[in-house]
Amino acid sequence: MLKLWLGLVVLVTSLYAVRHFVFAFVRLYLPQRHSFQDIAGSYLPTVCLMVPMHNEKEVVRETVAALKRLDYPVDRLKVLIVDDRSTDGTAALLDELCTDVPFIQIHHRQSGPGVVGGKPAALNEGLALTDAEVILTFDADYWPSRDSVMRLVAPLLDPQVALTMGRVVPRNPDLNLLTRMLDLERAGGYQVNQQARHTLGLLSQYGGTVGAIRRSFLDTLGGWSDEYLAEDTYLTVQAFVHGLQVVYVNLEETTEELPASWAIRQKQLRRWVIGHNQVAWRLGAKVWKSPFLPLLAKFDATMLLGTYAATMLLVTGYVVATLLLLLGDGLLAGSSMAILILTTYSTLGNAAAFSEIAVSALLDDRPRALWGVAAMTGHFAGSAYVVAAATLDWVWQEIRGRRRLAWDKTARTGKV
Amino acid sequence: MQARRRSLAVPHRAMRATRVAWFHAAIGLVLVVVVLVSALHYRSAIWNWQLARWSETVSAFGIYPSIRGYGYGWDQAFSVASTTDVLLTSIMLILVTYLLFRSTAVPTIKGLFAITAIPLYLYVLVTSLTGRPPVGALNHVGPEWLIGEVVVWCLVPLLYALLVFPVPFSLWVKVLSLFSLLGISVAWRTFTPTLYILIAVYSQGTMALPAWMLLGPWADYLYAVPVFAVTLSFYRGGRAADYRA
Repeated sequence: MLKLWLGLVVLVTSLYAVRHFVFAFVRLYLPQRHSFQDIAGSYLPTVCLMVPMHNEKEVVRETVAALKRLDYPVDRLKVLIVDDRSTDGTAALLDELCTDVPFIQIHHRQSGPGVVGGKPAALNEGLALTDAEVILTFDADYWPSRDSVMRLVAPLLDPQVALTMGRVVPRNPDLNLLTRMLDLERAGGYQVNQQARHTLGLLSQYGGTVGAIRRSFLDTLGGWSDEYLAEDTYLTVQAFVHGLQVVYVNLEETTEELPASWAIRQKQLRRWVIGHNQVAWRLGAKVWKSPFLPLLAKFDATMLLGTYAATMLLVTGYVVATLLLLLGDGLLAGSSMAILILTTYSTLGNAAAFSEIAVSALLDDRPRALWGVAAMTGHFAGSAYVVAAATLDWVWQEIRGRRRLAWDKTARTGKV
Repeated sequence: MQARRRSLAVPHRAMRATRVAWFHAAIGLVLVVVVLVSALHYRSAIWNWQLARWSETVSAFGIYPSIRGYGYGWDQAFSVASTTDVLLTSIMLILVTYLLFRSTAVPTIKGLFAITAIPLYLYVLVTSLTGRPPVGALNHVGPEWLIGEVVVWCLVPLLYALLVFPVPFSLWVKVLSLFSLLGISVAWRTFTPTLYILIAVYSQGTMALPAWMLLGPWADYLYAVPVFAVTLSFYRGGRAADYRA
């Protein structure tokens, strides 16, 4: 039984390893898809760019400054900043900063009975204030480029496209070791993983920020779901199972503030893990039932949804491998084939994720950043701990039938 | 602001795919064949040399491998935990885990602690329950390491042929890096089994499994990833011709 479980762990992680290498290869050498970017600016729907904010005084000035610089016809653009009952002076700052800008509207949420906090609730309240054809969402610490709106809405010219997602570039990567590691992680995730999936026609992930949503699609779902901690993954999967596309726009670049400490990062990662697992658990089967999707896309989407579950599986594999060493003749004894499989897996599997990160540093012309890749092993131990703890917590909540969906806001420092 | 400048200074850098250095790629494929043939041909000679080094080194510490030339009589050296040991270890582990996990220590420390503590505790628990040291598992220090070594020799050139050689930068750096990596793999698998045996014996078996996890036949990435990363850092960026949407 233990050997079977270990075999499953090896199989699953090997599939992930192959996937990493294929993406790295595709991104490194093959011509890349960049849907509709050559005609960005020719399709100009009415747009509402929503920025939910809660206690964001550290970043609000720069964010508003970036929003003011947006290059899009002002008669077709409304920026709606939803202040979610900030208590640190953000509300007053917003009023002061936006008085002379006609296309920026501030909406202050009010406290009261039945009013819930959190990003989905704030976005839904904002949604009721606009009738724009396309909704863009940006988190409070994201500073868009001038052409962000134009690039993000361009793919929506195709009625099959429901969501678009741009690239996020950290602006504080040199703050400390953690931000250096996260910078590499982000680069691998966007520059290689997301772009390769888009090039191969697989499922790109809408990340809940730096993205555009077709209003009609959002309306069919009844707005943002507050049932899931990862409302973005929920939207991604819903689009996918309905045969609609999510387009990744690597040419659109928005800067973000990386979590500057493990305390902040832990909360962020925990929210992603629980939210992602929720969607995988409740909607995973729908992916396979959808009549619109090719088999390979379903397979890859399942792997995307199972990213955090796979990390947990790896942790169980570690425990099982230890037990096998203690209880029996070892992991490999007596079977040359088992030795071959396991050592092949370990040679490829342990290095696979690093290949994506290395390729991203290469493509971004940052060869010096590659030196940091060597330090990522320790970083992985920390991430695995957080992922495992969050997954166990989520499983425990599901078993007890209690779903704690408190929204942990990611704190900002404003330090660059 | 460095990242912002970097990001926006090079329009469309994000869409670049690297130009393929076809001649280098061909050299990479030739090297795959050369290394593969050499590895399979000379593997026995290399293995025998490594086994001799293991024996020499551990013998210098008063440990004399006896079983099949590379194994060791682990049952002579390993301790078996008693019920009291289990009880005390459990209490200590729960206490330390509670304090550490509730502390503000970074998750990296917590993760590394768990990686070490899990096999350590399982060793105490399992030996106490079964009443015997895990001799079956640890008598096989040899084959896993040695067969794994050949797998490394086969796969590393393949990965280099796919992800390193076609990237346009110095061919000499690539060749040197590949053979350095293969050389390090021989050195690593000569050095780590002896270190592993010493740790296992001197800790009476209790540190055998954490050491196995760190030095075992799956730990090649610990040196391979840094070498791979440093090699690619010799890439000096693209030229105009590299930009291809």
